[in-house]
Amino acid sequence: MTKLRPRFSRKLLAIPYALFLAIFVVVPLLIIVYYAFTDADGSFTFDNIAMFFSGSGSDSFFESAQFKTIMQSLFISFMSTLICLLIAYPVAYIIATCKLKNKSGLLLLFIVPMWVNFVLRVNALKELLDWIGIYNKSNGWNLFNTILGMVYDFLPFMILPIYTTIIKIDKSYLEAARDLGAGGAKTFLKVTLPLSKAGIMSGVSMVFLPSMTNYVVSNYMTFNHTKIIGSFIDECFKNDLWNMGSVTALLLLTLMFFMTWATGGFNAQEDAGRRGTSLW
Amino acid sequence: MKKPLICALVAAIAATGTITIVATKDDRPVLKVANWAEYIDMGDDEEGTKPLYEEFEKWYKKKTGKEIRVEYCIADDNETLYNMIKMGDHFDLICPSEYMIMKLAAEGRLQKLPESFYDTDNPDNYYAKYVSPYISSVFENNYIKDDPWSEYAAGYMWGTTGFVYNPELVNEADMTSWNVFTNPAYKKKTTAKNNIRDTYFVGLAMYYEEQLKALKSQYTGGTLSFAEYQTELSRLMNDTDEKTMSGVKKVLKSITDNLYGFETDEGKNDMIAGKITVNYQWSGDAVYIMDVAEGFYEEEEVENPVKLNYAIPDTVSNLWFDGWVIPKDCENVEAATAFINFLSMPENAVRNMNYIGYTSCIAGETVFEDYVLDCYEANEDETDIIEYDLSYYFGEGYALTAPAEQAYRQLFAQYPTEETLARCVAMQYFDRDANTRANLMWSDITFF
Repeated sequence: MTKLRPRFSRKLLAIPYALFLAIFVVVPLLIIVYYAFTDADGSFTFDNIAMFFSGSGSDSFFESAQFKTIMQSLFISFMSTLICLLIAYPVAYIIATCKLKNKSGLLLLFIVPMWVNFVLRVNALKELLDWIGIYNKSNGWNLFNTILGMVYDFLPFMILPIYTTIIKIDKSYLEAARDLGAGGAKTFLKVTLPLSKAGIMSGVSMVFLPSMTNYVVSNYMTFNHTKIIGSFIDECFKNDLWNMGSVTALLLLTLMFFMTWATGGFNAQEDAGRRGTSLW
Repeated sequence: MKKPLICALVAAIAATGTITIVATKDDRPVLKVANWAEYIDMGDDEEGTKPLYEEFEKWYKKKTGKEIRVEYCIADDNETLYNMIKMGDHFDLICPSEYMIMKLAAEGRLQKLPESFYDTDNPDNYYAKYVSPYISSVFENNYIKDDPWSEYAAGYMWGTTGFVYNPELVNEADMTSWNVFTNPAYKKKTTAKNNIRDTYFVGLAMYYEEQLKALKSQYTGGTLSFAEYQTELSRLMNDTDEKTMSGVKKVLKSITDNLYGFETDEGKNDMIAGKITVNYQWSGDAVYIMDVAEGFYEEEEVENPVKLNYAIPDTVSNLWFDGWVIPKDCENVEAATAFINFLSMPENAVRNMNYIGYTSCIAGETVFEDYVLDCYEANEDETDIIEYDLSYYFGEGYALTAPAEQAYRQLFAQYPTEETLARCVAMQYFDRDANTRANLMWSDITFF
């Protein structure tokens, strides 16, 4: 009887996802590539890239809006990621290692804000800052507020993956380290931290890219004063400059690819996958 | 065991699909209209009226005996509408702003209105009959390549741009100058618009301040005719060459620190809440802000209404309008023009104005009496009154007695004086090269 049944391979389960990936990731990406390398009439050209790097008006590239926007975005997202990490790691560590029975309840406290629409949250934060009196006061404050908004928004994305890796660390490693004479700090640095690297890498990649492009946050937090690369791309598409917008999006993608590669992000994901600890 | 389940699922999906198809089956031909949000009278249950686009279906059936179903769509803004059309979305009638009409027409995406549309002998041509003489002269004297605007577009709503301000918190003399943006007295108290075009216009007006003043004195001195003045203004305010643009960029960079920020809609609330004292605004929204601030929409009388004013800078200002145009792929031009004419019936224009708060391009006795007099005529016991002349808009002899304050308030925002409109010009669309440069410049000035 069993021989008559059609063979059901587990691989078949991947088909819906593969289809989804093809339709909503690969095809749009190809469209972006198409627009990045064509001009308004649809003929092949490198002009868009050249234009992106040629600066605007009399300014050189390093004085141009494109370059400054990229640098500013990198700074904002670097700071946001760093601050998120500095806050998230201790939080995740404390929740994962505390003696409380109901750890998930505690974790929930950090996830609940995500259930509220983020535009609403950012708007509330804006009103709060206005009430304190630091909203839209100066460019310095604008930058600060943008980073604050990003951290506020993306913190749960950093906490969750770190938490899941820490909680899955085999306790016997820690006991072994202690048996062999390592103190608390040394155990943490030599065992816990390296073993939670996969979670950190997941968290970093979950925060870094969005905070480079989430212009809703920067627009709300600075009354449209501070520009990030996301707003630049948005304005290109809005104002009928699809080719320029596509080039910028493609460059951003390349930049992110190299950064992930340079920081060993791909390997970390692989390790995590092997151990079955990767959640994201 | 799995198969029956899947079969059942497939059957269920197929069944729902069929049901939906049956439910929406409607043989009536469709007229697909795209307009802005809150930009048509949506009717009132208490008065027994329906949204105007639904009432059009009945009216059209009665007039022509033909069935029609209006599919009414909302577009976010001109740029989104343009992208939709470029991506191949089909519409029969759309309502973009003047620069987008020019861009669409120049790219050959629009068809001209049929000649019969302007035939005043046909009693159903309400647009041709009731359009304001001022609007029709503007539409005759502005061109898309070699064709006047009127060949493509029928005006819907129009207005100017200017400053909404709180007269108690500002020096009113400052409000007629573009330099309000650099004036340290209003540091972090003014807003500009968060789009390239409106802000570029501001930059040009400040960049060309001297030339604009000289032109104005030539015009008022009589050495320049009205037509010449308009041509010169239009030339200056549509200058996009590289040298001008980098000059404008410097000007705009110098104002960003003084500004509270760039806004699209948030400015209305901030102005009403008193967070800012000067708001660069489109006249239609200015009317709304003034109405809300003085408690027009409140159920009960407000004790201390905040009275805000509207001013148009004295060197130049932007004249804008939204107009109905017919895209190339429209097949039912007759129904499309009938829709324009239906909206141009004076009573419908009044309904629209009451609902939207913008100024309709339609004039005529009914509009004047049922709207202008209804809203703005002074009560008999009022003493501080002025004579407000609207003959340029409604025709010979039309004037009203209004409360004196209305010379700076809603009446002025809705129907500026003829003298004010002499210094208002429309802005052309940016060509491809200028568009690219303008975008980069915009990113640069809004970058801190």
